[in-house]
Amino acid sequence: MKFDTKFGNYIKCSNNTSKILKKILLIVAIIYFLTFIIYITENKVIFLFNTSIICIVNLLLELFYRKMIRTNTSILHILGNSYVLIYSFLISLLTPINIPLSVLIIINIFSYILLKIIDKFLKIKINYICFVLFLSILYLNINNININTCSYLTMNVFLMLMMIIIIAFLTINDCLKWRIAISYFITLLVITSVYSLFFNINFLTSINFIFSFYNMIIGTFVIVDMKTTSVIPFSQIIYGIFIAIFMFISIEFLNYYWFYMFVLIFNIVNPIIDNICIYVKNKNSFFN
Amino acid sequence: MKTVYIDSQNEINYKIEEFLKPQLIYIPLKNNKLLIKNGDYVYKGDIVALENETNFSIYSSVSGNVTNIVSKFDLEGNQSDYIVIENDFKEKYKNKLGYSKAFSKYSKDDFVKLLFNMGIKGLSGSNNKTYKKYINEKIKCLIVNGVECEPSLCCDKSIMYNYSEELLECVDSILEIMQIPKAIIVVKEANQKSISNIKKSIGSYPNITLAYVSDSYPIGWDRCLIENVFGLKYKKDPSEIGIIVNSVSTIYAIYETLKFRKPLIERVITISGDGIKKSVNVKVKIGSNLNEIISQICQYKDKKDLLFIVNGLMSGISLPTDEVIVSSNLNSVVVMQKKFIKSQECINCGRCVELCPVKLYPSIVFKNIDNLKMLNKLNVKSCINCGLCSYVCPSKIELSEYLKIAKKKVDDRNEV
Repeated sequence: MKFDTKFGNYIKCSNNTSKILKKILLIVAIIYFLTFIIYITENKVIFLFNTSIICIVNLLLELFYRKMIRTNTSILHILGNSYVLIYSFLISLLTPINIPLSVLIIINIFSYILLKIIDKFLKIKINYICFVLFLSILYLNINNININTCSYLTMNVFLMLMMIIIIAFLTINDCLKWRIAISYFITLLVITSVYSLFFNINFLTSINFIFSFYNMIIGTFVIVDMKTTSVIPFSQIIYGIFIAIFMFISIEFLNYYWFYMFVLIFNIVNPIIDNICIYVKNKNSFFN
Repeated sequence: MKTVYIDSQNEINYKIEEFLKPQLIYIPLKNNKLLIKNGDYVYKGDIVALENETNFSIYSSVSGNVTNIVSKFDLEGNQSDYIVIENDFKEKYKNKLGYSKAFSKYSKDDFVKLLFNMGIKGLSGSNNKTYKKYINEKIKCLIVNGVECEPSLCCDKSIMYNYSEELLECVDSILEIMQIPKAIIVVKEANQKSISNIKKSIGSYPNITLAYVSDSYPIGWDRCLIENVFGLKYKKDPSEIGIIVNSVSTIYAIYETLKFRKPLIERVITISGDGIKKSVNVKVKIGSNLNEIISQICQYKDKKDLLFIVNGLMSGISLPTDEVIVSSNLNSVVVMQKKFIKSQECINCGRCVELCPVKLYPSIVFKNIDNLKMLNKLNVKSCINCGLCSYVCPSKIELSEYLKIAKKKVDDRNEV
């Protein structure tokens, strides 16, 4: 009797990319909703409108890209199996409120196209959210407009605890590279403590920022972008530590938008760190 | 070492059926020196071939006439030549079998020679020559591996259920002959039914104990098993730390050798899947044709797009036909419908890296499959083909297949 053949193994786990992305989207939507209720005190309609436009722009970009590479162009499939909505919500949450919508749309389109070209030809993966945020703040700086930062730069105990639960939920459901998030927060805490001790600076101000809703969103979703971060455990820890150092330098000595630039530079350096980890692993099993 | 629970829904009766009257028996010609030719009459238990490098004996499992040479598939999916023995159904032995001497009268050397002469091999799929494990002088413990973590397997569990007394007697004898202080039978905690009979009699054997492991994969792998049971690690072989691991099937084969001086000519295999009418554990003769066994015992369902998978759903391979010859390293056959989701782009989640038992980077191998320099650095040769990376991948990428391709590329490059 004749049979079909197939390569690979013949039993698969029930988890799939769609489930992972839906869980992340659910969490991001909850965070967006909470931000909208607690922190957006004026121009609520404009905030919602801007978010919708960003979602539509990103969806159209993804649709156009998929048509070009001749893959599944069903809108439902795109919404359930891509980062379109997740990135759109995060961009709406984290971009300065006073950036004009038209500029934001242009930045989105430019970033999307440029990053796809860099990925295709240079095989380098760049963090999309960080790139958009960096360009947005750069625009405001060039035009000498004061950055109207979000009012959720202060700590809220309830939201902080909620974010800790969210990190645990995402880790258990394999939706988060937890080593990055944990090493980021711990390093930030340690550096801040040591700096406050040595320079007699108010420690509480730093704590206020570290555990602010804004920083917890960055530490959970922005720097832990699955696509652009390493799969090697030790490489993830190094990344988390360095990103925390960059964040500390940005908020204490520079402007925090420098932080996004540091992340982008690190995206380019990541493959080199991976290669070093692989080389060291072959010599020593400690770095597993 | 991380392990993963695999929900296999594998409900198979522990009863062992028998298919010990095949029409034809096939002896492989590849890598073997044949001692018979066309027209010869062979007895059951006769040595019909010797392995080229080791002179390890290959036995005829039936009596009958040698006819011709045919081409059939082996378990690696390659077509090989086999010489055919036509069964006369008389089950004639040349020399009378039976007790030769009491188990305790065997010396260590006699026992090792017996394992070599009777062609005893590892029956869990490793196909290693069992006598090599017992050459080592300082053996501190014998582990009887009854875990069977592969989802489709049930043969060891059925042997433990049906032949518990024989297993315990054999293990006790091995301990006495080889002067090994203790033995541990390791089973999954979830498989209480399979060891219910062993539990009744194990009290009579003070040097044999039961140990339980979790229901996860690949906990049945020797390295993972020893780490779980003893918390010990080794470099190449468990004998470095004074431990021998034998599967339950191998222990039962040793029992038949010690008791009846019977060479390795039969084994129990599991046949299951939604493509056949009945899932069974069946005792078959080594050298018989799977097509004949399945047609007689299980029968195929009338379904389309069926896959014929040998040696497990996680680490086995699918073959294009059921004209496959049973060998000592075949432990299961699964016939199932081909229903798989198409693979998607890698989302870089790192799940495969987290769970790889040998700490490889399957997703990095996948992305660098054409970069030979990188593949050399990624240590792909340590891959044990457990299939866990393919199992956990949310994008359903066949990472284990890419690892096999990478291994082959590295091997080919090293040869050049």
